[in-house]
Amino acid sequence: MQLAQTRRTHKRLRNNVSCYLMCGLPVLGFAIFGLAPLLISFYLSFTQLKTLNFVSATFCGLENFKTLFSDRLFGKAILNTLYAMLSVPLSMAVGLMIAQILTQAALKGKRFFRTLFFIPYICSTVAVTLVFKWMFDAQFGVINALFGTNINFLLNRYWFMPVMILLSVWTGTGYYIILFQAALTGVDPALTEAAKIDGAGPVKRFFSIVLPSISATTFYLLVMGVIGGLQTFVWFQIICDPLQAGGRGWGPNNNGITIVYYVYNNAFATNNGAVRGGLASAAAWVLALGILLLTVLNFKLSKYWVHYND
Amino acid sequence: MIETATKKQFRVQHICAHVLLYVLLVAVAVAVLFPFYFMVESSFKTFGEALGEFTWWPHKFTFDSYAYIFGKNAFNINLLKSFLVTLLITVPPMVVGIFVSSMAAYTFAKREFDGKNVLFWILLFTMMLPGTIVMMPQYLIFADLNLVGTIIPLMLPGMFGSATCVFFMRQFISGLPSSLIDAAQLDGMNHFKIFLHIILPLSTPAVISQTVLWFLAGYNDYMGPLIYLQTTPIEWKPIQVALAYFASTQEGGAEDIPAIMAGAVVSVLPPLVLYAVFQKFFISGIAVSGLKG
Repeated sequence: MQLAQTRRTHKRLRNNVSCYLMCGLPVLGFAIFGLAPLLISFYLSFTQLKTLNFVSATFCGLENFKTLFSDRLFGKAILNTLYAMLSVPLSMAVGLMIAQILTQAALKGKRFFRTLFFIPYICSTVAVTLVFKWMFDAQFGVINALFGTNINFLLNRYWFMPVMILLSVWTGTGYYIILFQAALTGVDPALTEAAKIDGAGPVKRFFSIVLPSISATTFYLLVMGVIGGLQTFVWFQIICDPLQAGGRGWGPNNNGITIVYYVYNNAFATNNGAVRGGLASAAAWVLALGILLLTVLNFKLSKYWVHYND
Repeated sequence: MIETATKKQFRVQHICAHVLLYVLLVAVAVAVLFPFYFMVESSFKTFGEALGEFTWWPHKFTFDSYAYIFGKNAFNINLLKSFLVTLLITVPPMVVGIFVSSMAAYTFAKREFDGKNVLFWILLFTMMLPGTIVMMPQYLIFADLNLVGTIIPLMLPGMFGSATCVFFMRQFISGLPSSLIDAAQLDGMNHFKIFLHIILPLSTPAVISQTVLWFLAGYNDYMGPLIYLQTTPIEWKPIQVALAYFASTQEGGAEDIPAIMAGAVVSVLPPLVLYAVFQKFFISGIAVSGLKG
């Protein structure tokens, strides 16, 4: 009796060990490259760190957070990031519209268009950003030539962000097309047919049948888009590269600094500044908490308007 | 009589709507292709033509810029070398990481063990973790180990697999029949062998999809090499940072736009070829997990 039990315990133990061995590496990877840095970052946000070395960190309480919230540049970074995030609803709307056309209308060449529209999404950010920079060049760019204007888009405080948003929409729309198309093919055709018989036009059908049916996807994409949008960085870093702007690569009127860019600058002292590792960590934590808050809020709010199919 | 009139009207309306939709789709297609056109077109221009009066097409067609970025220059930029560095950084973690992730995915999908849910939630949490927050501490760890300036920080984390990949593979493997595993167990196979000889071959479509996405994410990675390979000479930088660095260090003087655009063309070619070949896998993979980075 007891022997059988021991044997069973033994077997269970062996099974556990074998499972841990087979699934443990990703978890271990998370511990080393996720959890440990997370804790270090939390600690660092309460310290002064003037070189990129742990040892030099000295505890300073809430000093970093005070500095952070009185730093106008950080406020600017938040505003810029929020402004840039206009690209999320924009590319979602354009993506949905195109997906709706590609799904509903009996057009030839739908596959061709879908394939084509997805291309910007897979292209390297660096190449795409450099091309946009060239297109919007003040002196020799195609955009000015095309419209007969003479605008220095990327150094103009009003034009800078619209161009960045355009770049983001151009890159991201293909992704939304694919995901919305997947959702739209799942809309029950019986519902739209019934609405059609009841005399609802395509616009009415879209807003009262299709849109509610895909609200789960829309909601998911919005949350992911917002999380991604809050971490916007590469386009801005390349366009406003400090090497180009004589050491202050933050765009016209500091319009090019985003939250992640702010973290990056303070962490690695790229803009001829000093390493302010504690401040960078504090800013990163503010961003992370913002992301967490938005995610939770989105999930809570979604109860009121998301319609899940089952 | 009245009926045919309305029918006719309906048909005309129908055709008009179709034409309108086509015009719209073509307009979007033009907007999508527009930047590519200028990228390619500018890369074949001479320096003087690119930075002169605007022209829609190179009047003097030249391949010089391509020769330039493949090594014939004083800048020491060589995109072929850079491409190889990118491969070196991307491929080994990709192979190991996907294997490791798939193995974990199999375990989570098909086996029962103590603490399974906890471990799974930990992985879920990893996916939510914003990269920004771990960026600097990770750097500090690698700096402490004297590994900054080497490619190890760029390769090592991937070797442990990725949470996204585990989720994707788990989804797929859950759909495979459990009876296969039971049968194999009766034959005396252990779980590692079952994974290697039965599950992995059956998961080929999912594995291809993850490989393509992983490669693309690695190939396009910018932030990683930007931080860790800051002092690496340009010829040994991976392709993305080499190109960005090349473009940014010319400011002040006149930018060599044709060379930069030639670099852009070369750097988007591998993803485009990959996309052309593996289109189906791209779309199925992205629909589930999205691209990282």
